[in-house]
Amino acid sequence: MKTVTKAIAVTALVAGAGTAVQAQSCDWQPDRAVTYIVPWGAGGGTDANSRMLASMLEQKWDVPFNVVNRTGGNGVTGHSAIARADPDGYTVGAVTVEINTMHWVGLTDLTMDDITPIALVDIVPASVLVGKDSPFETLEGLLDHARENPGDLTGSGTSLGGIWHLALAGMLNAEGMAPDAIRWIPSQGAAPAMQELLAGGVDVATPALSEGKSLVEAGELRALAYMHDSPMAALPDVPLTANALDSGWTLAAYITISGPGDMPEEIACSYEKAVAEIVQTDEWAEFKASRGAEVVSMPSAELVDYMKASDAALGDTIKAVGLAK
Amino acid sequence: MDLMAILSAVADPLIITTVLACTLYGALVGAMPGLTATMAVALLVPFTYFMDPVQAVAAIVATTTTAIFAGDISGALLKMPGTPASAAYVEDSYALAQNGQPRTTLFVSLFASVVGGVIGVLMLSLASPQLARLATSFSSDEAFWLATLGLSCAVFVGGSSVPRNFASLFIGLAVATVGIDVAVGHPRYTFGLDELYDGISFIPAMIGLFALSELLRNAATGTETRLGRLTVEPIAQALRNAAAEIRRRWASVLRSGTGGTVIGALPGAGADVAAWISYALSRRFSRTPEKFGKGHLEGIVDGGAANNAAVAGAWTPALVFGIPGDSVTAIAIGVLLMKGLTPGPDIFTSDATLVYTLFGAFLLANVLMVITGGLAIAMATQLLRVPRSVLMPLVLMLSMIGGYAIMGSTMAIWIILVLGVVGYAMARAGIPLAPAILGIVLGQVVEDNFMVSMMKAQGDITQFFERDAAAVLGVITLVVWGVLLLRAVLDMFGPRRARGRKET
Amino acid sequence: MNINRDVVTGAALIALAIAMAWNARGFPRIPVMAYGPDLFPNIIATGLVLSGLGILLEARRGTAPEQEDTRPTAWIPFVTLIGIVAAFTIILPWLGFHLSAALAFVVAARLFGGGWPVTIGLAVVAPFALHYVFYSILRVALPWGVLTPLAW
Repeated sequence: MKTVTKAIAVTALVAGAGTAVQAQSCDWQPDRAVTYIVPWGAGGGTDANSRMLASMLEQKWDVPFNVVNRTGGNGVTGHSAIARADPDGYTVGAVTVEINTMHWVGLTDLTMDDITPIALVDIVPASVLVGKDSPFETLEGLLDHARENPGDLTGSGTSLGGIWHLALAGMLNAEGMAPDAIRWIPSQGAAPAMQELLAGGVDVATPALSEGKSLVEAGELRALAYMHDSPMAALPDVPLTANALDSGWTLAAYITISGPGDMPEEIACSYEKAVAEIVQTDEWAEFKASRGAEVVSMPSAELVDYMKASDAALGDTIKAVGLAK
Repeated sequence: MDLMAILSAVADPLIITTVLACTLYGALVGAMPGLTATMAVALLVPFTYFMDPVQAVAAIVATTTTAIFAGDISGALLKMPGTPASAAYVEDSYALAQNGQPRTTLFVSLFASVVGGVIGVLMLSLASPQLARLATSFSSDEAFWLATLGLSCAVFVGGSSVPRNFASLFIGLAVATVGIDVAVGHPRYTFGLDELYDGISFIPAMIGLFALSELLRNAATGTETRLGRLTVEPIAQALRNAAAEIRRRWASVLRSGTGGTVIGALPGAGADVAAWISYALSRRFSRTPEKFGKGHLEGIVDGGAANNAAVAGAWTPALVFGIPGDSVTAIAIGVLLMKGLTPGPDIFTSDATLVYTLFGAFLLANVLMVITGGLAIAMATQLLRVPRSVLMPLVLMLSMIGGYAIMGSTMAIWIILVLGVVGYAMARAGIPLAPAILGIVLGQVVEDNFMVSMMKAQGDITQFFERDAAAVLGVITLVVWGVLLLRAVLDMFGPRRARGRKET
Repeated sequence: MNINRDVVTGAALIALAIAMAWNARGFPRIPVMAYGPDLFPNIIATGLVLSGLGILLEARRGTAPEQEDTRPTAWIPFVTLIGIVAAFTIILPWLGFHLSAALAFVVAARLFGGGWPVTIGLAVVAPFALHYVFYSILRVALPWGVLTPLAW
């Protein structure tokens, strides 16, 4: 009788775990230092999220998680380093949305097939920001001006072909305008772009809303739109492009923790399990709230689908705005 | 702001202990070649999760301040400047250390850093809203002019031969063109290596040009010096000399501290440019400019005061607008946000205690740095007592690890090797190194801002004078460069003069 | 000797300039503008040529600065040192830090005139000490290479 219940319990457990996990026990653990590669610089959003996650994994598994910022080539260097590493579980990294843009714009041959997505860490929707003295009070006003005077306005936020450039160009394209109706001025990231915006060097910036949150709250910048379908908890009054635009355009960058290509299932699911537990802690919730972001989580199977969909959508955008190579 | 409020905010044993521990930690990291202030702060972040906001801010501030100073230690002892900011006067400090005055040099550098840092904090507490307002009015136009003006320092930091100074500057600028360009994202001179897409980083470049080229020179010139040990003067004597030096040059310290703070607050500038400009000004107005670059304390006083003052300056845009001036303040903003504090113009009213603490921590860190920095100097200079057959291999290994640490890749060591050979060749040809470093540091800033401005203006060059601040800076820059070039031409084609007397 | 040195220097700078400008021909342009990523390389190349000519002129007029004699007298140590750096860089990912560093220390300590006891001591102690400081305290991800099974 006893053995029967046990057998049933085990069957239920395996069935409950679903097809993605299969018969893995998911209890692999590193027994020495792990290298955590971040393709972007210290101080940015990817760096902050990854360092927080790394320090919590470190507590959990009691081995050092050494964060290495491998910057360069608009993300190519770091992503290649993650993809090329030995998939033994001792190298993981912060693969970001650029894995789905870089190959379309011809920067690299690397695609998401070369890495093993483990878990979603953050979703970072874009925004439309203008200076406090800007004549534009609404997104419609801005877009109407751009429609009537193509090339008159300038926008910034990241490098040419970077994700925030696609946010702007894609939105213009979706609204039936030339993608360069607002001319893109490249910058070395979101912070210098907002500096330009404050100084009156450009008319609009489209970085992550979380990047501009302090300046918006301080009244130095005005947020005309949030390129998402649900409002940001910290700035609930910013209009959503999903509602405001006929095209329903939205765009969000994302940050994952991923392993090198062909990471053994056992190791990948152990990481997935650990991260899933971490994102449920209060500490993680507090960290997210401090940055004005929401806690996100996604099983790795769903993450793969999400990234595939993003790859196709970004590919369409990149081709539409004429940046494909 | 009220000094008493500032002091009482940090008169807490926990804060004092934290600051003390962090100055020690900052000194360790900063003195290690290849490990920057940014890295020191990034490593500190996980610990700040467990601290209260006041303590966390104090920890970051104390670490940064000492790390920037400690970069001078490896610069003077091993010719391996810890930061580009220390590179401005590394030839002076290294020459002095080789002449048996390593401790005097480093104490001068320490005291100048401390006073510069204190000036920076005072200006930060008195005028950060105004400074931040100035900083955020800088667009790419102003940043371009400022960086171009900075480049003119190359003429002052070099040697006596004008074409050689320019050659050095252009070699540095050529190195800076490596990598993806900002305008169209085209990889230039990368030889198909994606690790070079981001350009040649400063730290491996400096280690190669200064440290490895020096080792190569040592290896190539005979054997007689290889077993000798360097002399190190007694601490008491070094302290006395250093204190006297700072007292004698109080006006320079004041000037460089003030200038450094303002420059540090401006976008595209920061501690590096602050140190270079102060060093160049120091030389320009010195009564003994010919001694610069060969082991002269005057430039160390100015450069050292300026770069630590700039550390405080960099906080102004970060605090007031949440715009990070450099990667250290970017990390710091993240920590502030995590502690529920949003930087912004209101932070001075809404979180006044925190702002007082920040200033207090800066002040405290600068004062305690005298102790920990002194300790670090005393210990580090022991290194010079080691026989050269041990010291030289250690310097070599530290160079290679330092490069590896900054890039996490062996590409950095290749860069060190190539630039080491270039640096050796330049020394052989009598070309000074300092202007090249300036070119590497500023080359990208100049080009990026030029291209961005031109794209905004669709190629209309008059746009560089459209904005008021840009027009003023532009005219100053053009006048300075015009005078310099005119003098260079006169110098080349004018009557022959005896070398050594031609310095102004 | 000095004249010779300056002729070589000037020629080298001009050669570098030509290589830069030649390479820059293939760079793409920015639409609507008459220049692009090739602008700064070309300015710099021009500057290098002028500096090179200036140095040649100085040599001709005899106004070049005197310099300390840094002529290499020991080519073998010079080349060995370059060899150490190159070899260390190549073997580091495979042999790992400890072994690569120990090998580099042996050759370098001998090169700078160390006796065998000093050399052996340095090669044994220094890799561990440096590894402790950089890897364990400062969190630099130094590679383990073949020693991975022993890693901590």
